[in-house]
Amino acid sequence: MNAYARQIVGHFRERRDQVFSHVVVDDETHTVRWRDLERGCRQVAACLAEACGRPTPDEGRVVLIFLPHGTALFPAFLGAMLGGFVPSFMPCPSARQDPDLYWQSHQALLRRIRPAAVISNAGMFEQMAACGLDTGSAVQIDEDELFAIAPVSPPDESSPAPEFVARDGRAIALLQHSSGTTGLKKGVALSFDAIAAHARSYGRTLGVGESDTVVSWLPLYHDMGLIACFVTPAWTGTGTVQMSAFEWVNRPQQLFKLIERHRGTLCWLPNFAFEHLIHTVGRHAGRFDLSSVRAFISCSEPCKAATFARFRETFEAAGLGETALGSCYAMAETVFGVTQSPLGAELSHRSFERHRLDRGDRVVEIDEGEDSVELVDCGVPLGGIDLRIVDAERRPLEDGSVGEIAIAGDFLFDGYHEDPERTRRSVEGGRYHSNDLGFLHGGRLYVLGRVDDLIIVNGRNLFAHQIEALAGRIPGLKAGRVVALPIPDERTGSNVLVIVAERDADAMTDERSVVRAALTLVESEIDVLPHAVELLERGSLLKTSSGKLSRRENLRRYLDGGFGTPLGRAA
Amino acid sequence: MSRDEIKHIVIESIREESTLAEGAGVAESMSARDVPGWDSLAHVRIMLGIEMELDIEVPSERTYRAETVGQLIDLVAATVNDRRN
Repeated sequence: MNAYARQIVGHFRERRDQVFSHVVVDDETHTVRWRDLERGCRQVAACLAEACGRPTPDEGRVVLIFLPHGTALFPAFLGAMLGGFVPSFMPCPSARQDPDLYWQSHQALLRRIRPAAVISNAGMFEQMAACGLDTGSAVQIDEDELFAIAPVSPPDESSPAPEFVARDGRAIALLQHSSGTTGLKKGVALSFDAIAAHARSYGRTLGVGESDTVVSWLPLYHDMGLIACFVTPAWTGTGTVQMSAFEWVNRPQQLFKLIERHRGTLCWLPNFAFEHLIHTVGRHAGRFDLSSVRAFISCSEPCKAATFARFRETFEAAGLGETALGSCYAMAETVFGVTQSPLGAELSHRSFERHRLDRGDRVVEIDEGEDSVELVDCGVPLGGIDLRIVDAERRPLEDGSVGEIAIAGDFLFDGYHEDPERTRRSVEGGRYHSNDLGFLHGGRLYVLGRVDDLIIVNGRNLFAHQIEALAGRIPGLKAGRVVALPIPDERTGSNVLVIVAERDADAMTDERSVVRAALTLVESEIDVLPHAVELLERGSLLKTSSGKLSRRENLRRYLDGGFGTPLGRAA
Repeated sequence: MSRDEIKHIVIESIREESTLAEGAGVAESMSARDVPGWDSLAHVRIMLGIEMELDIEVPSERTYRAETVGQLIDLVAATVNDRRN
């Protein structure tokens, strides 16, 4: 049996009455102890074996899990894993999504993966059938059937549970489907050895101990939720508290209430979540107690210095410690963590000369001022990670040079499931090329954005997400509904910057003033004059199936003239 | 706590977080669409204000089912009474 499985089975024996997780569904807290988890895992493994045939250790048949937030998620996933299958969480359609479109968009993915089983509930199976989704030869297992089989008692306590299948450490433990339009989601294959090595390294880096409690709203189909808040705490035996993402968006105060109630110590959040908390719970900060928190760790998006400063200032009244903010750089392709800021220390940020950064020259640290840009670092590489910055030809660059972040190490993924071509493109010489841009300075990693995010305008490197966040601050523009587009300019042979945004219908400003204000703000903050700012009606911009704005699709529509006459335009 | 007292708290929270003109009335028959500035973010803040003022917790599934201000007041009142019992 591999090290990860042995660790979990060991916890089943040694931590029987300890809490594995408190799972909050609506306003009820369900306590799952390790003995409950073991029972559930054995039942799921038995159910899958009966439905699909008991797997051999080498098979690695995939099980897709479409289940909403609830206690079944954990035994469904771990039970499949320990039972010799390869589980993968998938997102469920939200109330706002058209179920037909949602399930049809998964058809290509299902054909590629060819799962042995699909675990879901009656409602979703009905939706799948209604839209004619072809699940191939996959057995459909309703959530209610998962726990129908009583576990068989092993001959003695030291024998492994008969439902479990011992698999080698090099076998694939799970698939993590990273973001992207649904049909093109990449299935990141992670071995048992990789998830164990990562858990050891990240656990050591964070100094995770028995007294820690992870509090999370993050969905488990995303690597941050899956690995940081489930798979790794399961290894370290750290208790967790899990609430639903839907509840968090609509009642962010619940995150803080749960932290208080359970004395939470660790909480991972994307940058937008810090902003959401500031803008909602912020004015009631004094009503909460966050003094137990060792770190809110920002991850999954470029960390913004201004956001951290505002968060710290806002929640000082809630007892938020000066050193209780952290940052990390992570990805599914390295299980999760690549770099982490040292916990127990104030988060560090530095100012760099703006124009050199824009041109992609070697960075120069300067005092904060008009020509500087303040950046938060993402910390230092985890033990077992070998990180390098490379140029377009994948040659290593010196410290201070901006280039692509390329990673080798002890817990790299085993490729993209059933996609050898994509794997071949991104992994070279045992090193994964991330498509993220950044630089090393003083031993710390600074992440600037995705290569895809980059807009090059007359030799200047601009990051679309920065421009969009800036423009979104203008009253009259709907924040989060802005795209910055590089439009080819034949005259210059380069691109011009066009910003397309949806109006905020509730704001009392006229369209002309709004677009002029956006033009002026972008020019003054980024020192580039957009070629145009165009304002559209709400709902005009195109989104991916995961709800994010698609720059690529909106660029195509813009070039085709598909947006029609804008409500307002400034150039 | 009477329904009228709860109504006052709910309407004050709506006023605080929306862009309603000063002096404009909030009728129980109104829905979020009828109140300027009552978008999804404002809704989060309105409910948060009510929860903080009354020391209650209302799962979001239930608040989204309340289609009018009057239904929201009834929901909050029921939650307050449940907590008391």
